[in-house]
Amino acid sequence: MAKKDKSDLLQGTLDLLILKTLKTGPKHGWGITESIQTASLEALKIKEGSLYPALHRLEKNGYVKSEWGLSENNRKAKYYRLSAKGQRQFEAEAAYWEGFVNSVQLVLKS
Amino acid sequence: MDDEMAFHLDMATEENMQKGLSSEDARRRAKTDFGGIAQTKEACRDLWILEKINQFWKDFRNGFRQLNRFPSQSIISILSLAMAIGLFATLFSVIDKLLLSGMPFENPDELYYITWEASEGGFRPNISLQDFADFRKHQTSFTDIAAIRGAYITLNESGEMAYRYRSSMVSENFMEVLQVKPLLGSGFQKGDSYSGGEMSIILNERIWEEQFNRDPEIIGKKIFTGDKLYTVRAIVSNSFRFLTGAVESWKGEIPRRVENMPRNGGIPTWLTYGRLKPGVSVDQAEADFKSIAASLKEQYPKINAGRDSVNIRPLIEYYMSDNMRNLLILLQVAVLVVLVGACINIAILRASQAANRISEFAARSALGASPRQVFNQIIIESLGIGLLSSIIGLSIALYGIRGAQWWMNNSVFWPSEITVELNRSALAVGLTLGIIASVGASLLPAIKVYGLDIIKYLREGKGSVSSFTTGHLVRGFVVTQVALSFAVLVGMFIMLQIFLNLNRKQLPYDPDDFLTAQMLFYPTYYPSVKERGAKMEEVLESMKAIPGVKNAAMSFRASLSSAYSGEAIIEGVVYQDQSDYPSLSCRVVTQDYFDMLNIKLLEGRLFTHFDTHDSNKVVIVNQAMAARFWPNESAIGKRLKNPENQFADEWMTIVGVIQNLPERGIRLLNTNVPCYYMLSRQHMLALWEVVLECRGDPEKYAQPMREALAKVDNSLGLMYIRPVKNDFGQQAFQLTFVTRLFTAFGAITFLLSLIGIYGLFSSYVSQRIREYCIRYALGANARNIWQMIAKQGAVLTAIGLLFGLVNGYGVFLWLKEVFPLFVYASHFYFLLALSLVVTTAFAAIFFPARKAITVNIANVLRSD
Repeated sequence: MAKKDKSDLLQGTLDLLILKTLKTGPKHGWGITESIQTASLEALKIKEGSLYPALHRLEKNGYVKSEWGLSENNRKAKYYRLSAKGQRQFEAEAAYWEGFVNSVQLVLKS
Repeated sequence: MDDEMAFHLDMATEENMQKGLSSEDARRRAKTDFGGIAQTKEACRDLWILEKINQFWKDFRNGFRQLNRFPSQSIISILSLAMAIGLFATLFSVIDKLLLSGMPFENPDELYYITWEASEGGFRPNISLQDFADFRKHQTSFTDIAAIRGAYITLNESGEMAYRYRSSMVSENFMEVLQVKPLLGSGFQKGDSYSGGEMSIILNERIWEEQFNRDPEIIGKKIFTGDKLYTVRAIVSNSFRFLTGAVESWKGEIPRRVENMPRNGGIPTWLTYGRLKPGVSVDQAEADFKSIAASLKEQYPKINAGRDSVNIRPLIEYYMSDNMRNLLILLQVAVLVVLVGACINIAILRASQAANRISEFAARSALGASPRQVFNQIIIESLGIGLLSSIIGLSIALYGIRGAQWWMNNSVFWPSEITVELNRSALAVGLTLGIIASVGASLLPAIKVYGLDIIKYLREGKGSVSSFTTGHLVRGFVVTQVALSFAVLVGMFIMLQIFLNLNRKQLPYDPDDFLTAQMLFYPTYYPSVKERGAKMEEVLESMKAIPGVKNAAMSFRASLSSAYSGEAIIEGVVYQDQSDYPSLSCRVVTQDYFDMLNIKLLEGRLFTHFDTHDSNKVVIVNQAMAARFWPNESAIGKRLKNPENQFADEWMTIVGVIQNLPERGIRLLNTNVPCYYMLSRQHMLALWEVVLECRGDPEKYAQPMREALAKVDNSLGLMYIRPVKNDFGQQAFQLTFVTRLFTAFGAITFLLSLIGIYGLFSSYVSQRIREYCIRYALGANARNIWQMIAKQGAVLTAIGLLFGLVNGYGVFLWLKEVFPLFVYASHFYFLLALSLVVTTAFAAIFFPARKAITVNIANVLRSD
């Protein structure tokens, strides 16, 4: 069996992680990867090729809104923030995820 | 997207540098970690494109749903635009074809004829054969030029009866220049008609059938035409007519004539025509011919004196008068104006609709639709109207063309090979204008909506977007529309009157009952007036004896449909020279002519047996002539001379005055021309038109007519036998056609105007529904509201009618000038037009007003 990289996220998990990260405030794409990486103790490294399409998809669905602003080092950067719809979406997805993980745990421990 | 990715890369590079990598390595590493930048961008872009497509589809559906919400306004917009597009494309295509009608040749617009420059009298002399040969040799502007002149042939293949046919002498390239393909054979061959070559001839289907029983072996056969042996080279369709339908054979005579002709004169009787080379202008061609003319003049100073300028004009002029051409072009312009008018109409309607719906748009914005979405919705709705109108307009045009073609196919006078096709550029112009009008009209409101301050609008109500109020515009347009409809109606009624008059036949006889043919009495065979007169009587008696023939008469040269032009010298009038002689119409007729045609005698007597070849010469004049020369006295007993015939010196005494007849044919700009009638047996003339009055279909008398003539003299032949109605039809064809076109145009334009008036009025009323409701709320009753609306409508209609009367009178005066014979003042048309417009205006006010009165006030005010 091929070795599975921890950073290979389950389908749909990335959206949840992005929404969670944005709960603490607006962030640009780089900031989001950094936050996830730090929070997962470097276990999860988000690939840019997945991050940006995911961000644009979330924006298109109205879960996040974007605007241009200045970064910490005074560079022009695109900031994403959670919309009210995104907030509701996060809560629903987080609850689902929790339930899902618990169920998997129960099976594994049985 | 690029900026976003660049920022990400920069941040990653910075972090790598902090880890101790050189800037280059840090950048490389960052790029490697990022993976495929281009693919990432592409993936993001795809997401948005899909989104846009979805959004467009949503807007599109929404737009169409909105069209459905206002069905009457949408239907009015779509229908009127579709009709305008259909009308424009159909009439434009038909007229375009008609402008080239009668020219059933490939690329007829390349064909021109060449004459010498017009003299002072406007007459443009044709070219002599010698000059033609020189022009042909040296010119470089035409692919080739050809020449043609009238002739006759006699055929007696059966050996029993001589048949005479009209023919033409032509140059051997006659068919190539016209690009006509024969039914059989391939046309004149190289070397034909030159010395040593064969004399060749082309026949039409009719001769092929009558003389050769459609012999499939006809090509190459030698036939005797009365003077020479000719080899048949081709058979062309009966529908092929070049200049006149009477000509049925073409002899390739010119090469030999040119060869044998000394270069010392020549009669300028040859119509010379050619096909202009692509890219060569008429001016260039004229310059080319002028330089040849100059060198010819130098070479032959005596013969070519005064011939130094050449005129090159479109060959179509031989088929259609300038007036008719101008009328058709005018009609084309009118159709375009109607299309533009309909577009403006739609534009105003759409704009006022959009203005009325501003609250709806504001509400949509307040519910979360972005300004762009609202903008898109308005544009898509209009695009929908434009597209639907285009589709319906295209169908109307296709059916219209089919209808026109059907009518033409059922008209014996329309050259059957002319097929009307949808003019693609006309259709493209129609569709483009339609879409521009519907989209363009919504653009202004849409742009306003785009920049609309919704909160302010909803807070302050409609006042904040007062610029949307198109009330003045709508009022102005109602007035214009009423005025235009009135004028169009008057024009249409006058056209209908012309058409009905044409059909009512302002003739004392029915042309459907007559058969006519030409015959020649050669002076060599009948040298004296007496002999010829006796022979003519004999021929007429023999024809009257045909069972079913009621009567027979002859008229010199001219057919029943028009007399020929002639001059007259009136006794007692002093003329300085010949050019002072009045130009009139005249005929020379046999004694029974007037009786047969049921022509009314107004004064004096008709010709009798006592008027013989050697008695005093007598003449009958028509009322117009009597009124012109003897306005206050009787014309009877007055005398005149015909300066053109062989008895020019003998006075003819007027014995009778008859009613006026359309002796110059039923043509445009026909005037009541004075005409005089001489008696056949007192004059020595050769070419006669024999007319038979028949029971039933005249065409079936053609063969008996020939047989009757053969009984009298087997050497005489009848030419160009045809029903008289064909002559009238051919003359009236263009007029009938134009009249029908105008009537169709008028009817559709009027319908468009009706729709326009209705749409505008209803839009005007619905714009003010809120105002009426407030009045209701303030205590007005239905009667007050109705009175108010009716008053407003009546004022607008009255102003419109005032302008309309002026326009209508203008149209009447103009048509009277163009068709003086047919148009006469009648209050009837004005009253009819008035009542139609008023009825429409009433309906246009009544229905919206009823809606306004029965509207639920609470709902309207609440919705606001």
